[in-house]
Amino acid sequence: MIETEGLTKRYDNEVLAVDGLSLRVEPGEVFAMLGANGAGKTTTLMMLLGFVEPTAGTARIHGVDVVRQPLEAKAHVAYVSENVQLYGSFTALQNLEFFARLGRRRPTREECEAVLRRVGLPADAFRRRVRGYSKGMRQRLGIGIAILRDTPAILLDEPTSGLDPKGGLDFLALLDGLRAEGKAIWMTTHDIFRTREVADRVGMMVRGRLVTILRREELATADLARLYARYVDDAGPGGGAAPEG
Amino acid sequence: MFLTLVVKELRGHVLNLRYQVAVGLTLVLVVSCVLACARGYAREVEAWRAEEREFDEVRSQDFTLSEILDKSFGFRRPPEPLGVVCYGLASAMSRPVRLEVSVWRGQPLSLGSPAEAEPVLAFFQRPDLAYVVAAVVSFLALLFVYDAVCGEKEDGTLRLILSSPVPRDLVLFAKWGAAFLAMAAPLALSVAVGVGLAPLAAPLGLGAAAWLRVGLFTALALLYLALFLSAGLAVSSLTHRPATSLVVCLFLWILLVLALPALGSQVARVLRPVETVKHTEARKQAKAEEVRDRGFRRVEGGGRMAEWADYMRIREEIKRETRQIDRARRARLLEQARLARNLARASPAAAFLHAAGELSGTGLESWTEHVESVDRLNDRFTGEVERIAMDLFATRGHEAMNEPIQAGLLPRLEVATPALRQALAAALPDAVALVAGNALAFLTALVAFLRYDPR
Repeated sequence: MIETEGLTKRYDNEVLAVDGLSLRVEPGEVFAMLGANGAGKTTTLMMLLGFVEPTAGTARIHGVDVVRQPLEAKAHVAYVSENVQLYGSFTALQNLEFFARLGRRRPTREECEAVLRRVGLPADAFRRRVRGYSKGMRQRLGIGIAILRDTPAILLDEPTSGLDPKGGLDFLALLDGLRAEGKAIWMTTHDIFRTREVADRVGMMVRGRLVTILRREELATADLARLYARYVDDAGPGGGAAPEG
Repeated sequence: MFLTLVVKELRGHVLNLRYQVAVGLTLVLVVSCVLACARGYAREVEAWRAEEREFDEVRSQDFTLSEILDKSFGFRRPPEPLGVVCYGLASAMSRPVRLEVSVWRGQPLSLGSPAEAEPVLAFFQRPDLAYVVAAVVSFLALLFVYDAVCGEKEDGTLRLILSSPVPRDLVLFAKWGAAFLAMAAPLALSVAVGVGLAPLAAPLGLGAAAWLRVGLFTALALLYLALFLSAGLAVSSLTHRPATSLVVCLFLWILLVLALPALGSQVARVLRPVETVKHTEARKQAKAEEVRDRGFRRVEGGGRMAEWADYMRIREEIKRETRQIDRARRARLLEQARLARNLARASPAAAFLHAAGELSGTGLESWTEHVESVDRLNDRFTGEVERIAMDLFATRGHEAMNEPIQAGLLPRLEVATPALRQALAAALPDAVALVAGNALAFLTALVAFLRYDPR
């Protein structure tokens, strides 16, 4: 479970990046956060990962406060960034094993290979250096690391950005599988079409505030594209407050 | 988890072309440098033997007392075999020493070499093994770690690592530990191979004690390497782009390795100026003439010398006065050199070279010990001639001047090299400075990394 309560971040330059965000993502739920650039989506993720200290409010992963017990909280969450960067001189298996060990897991070679197969990497790529991987392959490997770490919560930052249609579909299937395993999944995205396919709830973030949440049943009827465009337009040029979100 | 991080870092280093080039360069430079220094040592030993043969030839003859009083005798300390590790002040110490019994013009300075005038800068004049470590290994160490933190940030892998439940201090310790292991092993191996192969170029005749000193030098080199790795990590943790980090590291290297040692010497020369050898010699000569003329006028009223005892009293006075000038200058010089060394301790390169010099028997304290041993020889040599002269005058009167004396029986230069314990004590302040610098640099890296923004 991922939980925030009044989570706020105000930067030194007085910019309010996240404004009193209260949200709860349950096990077996995929929550997608939509918002323009600078809306505060990534800042929220960075607070959940302990990279940015909240100005106010709390955030908990699997019941563990991310500020008070950052390491324990990180033990319960896996993170996949927008552009997964791994050690180029290592093979996929070496990268997978290394990051799994950092996550306090000691996978066998068979487990690693099974995960790589699950994320759809071709067998001949397992022992190839990651330096030669395409973005889609690295993204799959990133998801593989999250799967292997087997944490109750997963944070995904723009996970479908730059994926080809097949990669996108595969990714949705993987996400479905993880949801079925009971993971609480929080993803930030601009990809409204894939969001509709996979998310249980969609939140719209504008200038640091969560302005609306749509449930799965509402998503089926809502004109998500129009809604998203309206909020982005409302946010004005740049779309939001924080520099990176 | 620490081991996982270290293994990952080591694997990354070993697979990196930069590391492979650095290892190859270290091995080639260290070994070729030691072999070149060993060949230089062999040539010095040859020159020393030739000169010693000449000196021995003179010393093996008999001279009359009057001849001895007009003659100068040469002595030379043998070259220091561990000079192949750190040449330091070996050149100043192995210069020929000429002793004169005559005091009438003021005895010449026995060690008036340029190195004596610049005992600190002499450390930076020869590309010996210590200098290769001081200049090249420090440079390679910085090149090795300048992007250890900011490079990972730019690559995006740091964010992934720090999103794992791994303490940041452990990540930094692992980076430091792996970089140290990766560089220390080839460095230690290169020193061992270089010194091990040196006998092929010259018969160094290193015994167990000398090998122990080489071992201590290697430990010191590793401490020095560790400091630059810590400094590089600190810079990498304080910057956010590898290009910025590289520029800062280059600036730091120029400051610590090139600028500060020279600056220490320059400041010491301004704060504790020492007159030139030429000026000192002129003052001594003037003083000798003044004492001689005054003494002669006093004892013989402008006429002939009355008694041998009067003559000896004048000699004694000249000796005393000119030695005082000599010793005052030497004390001032030593004061300047020590001040320069203390100031230069702000530079790890200078601290390392001075400590390496002490361990190799070519440092400032070894030089001081050598200078004092030459002083002692001067006293003993002239004292012995005077004793013989007194005895002869007592028994033979004025005929004594024509009596033969065996020069071979007169005292010789005793080679004074500080014992290992003294060498360690002399090297200790510099080693402590390196440890303190290391702690400061690593602490800076740690504080910066704990607050580092991986986004």
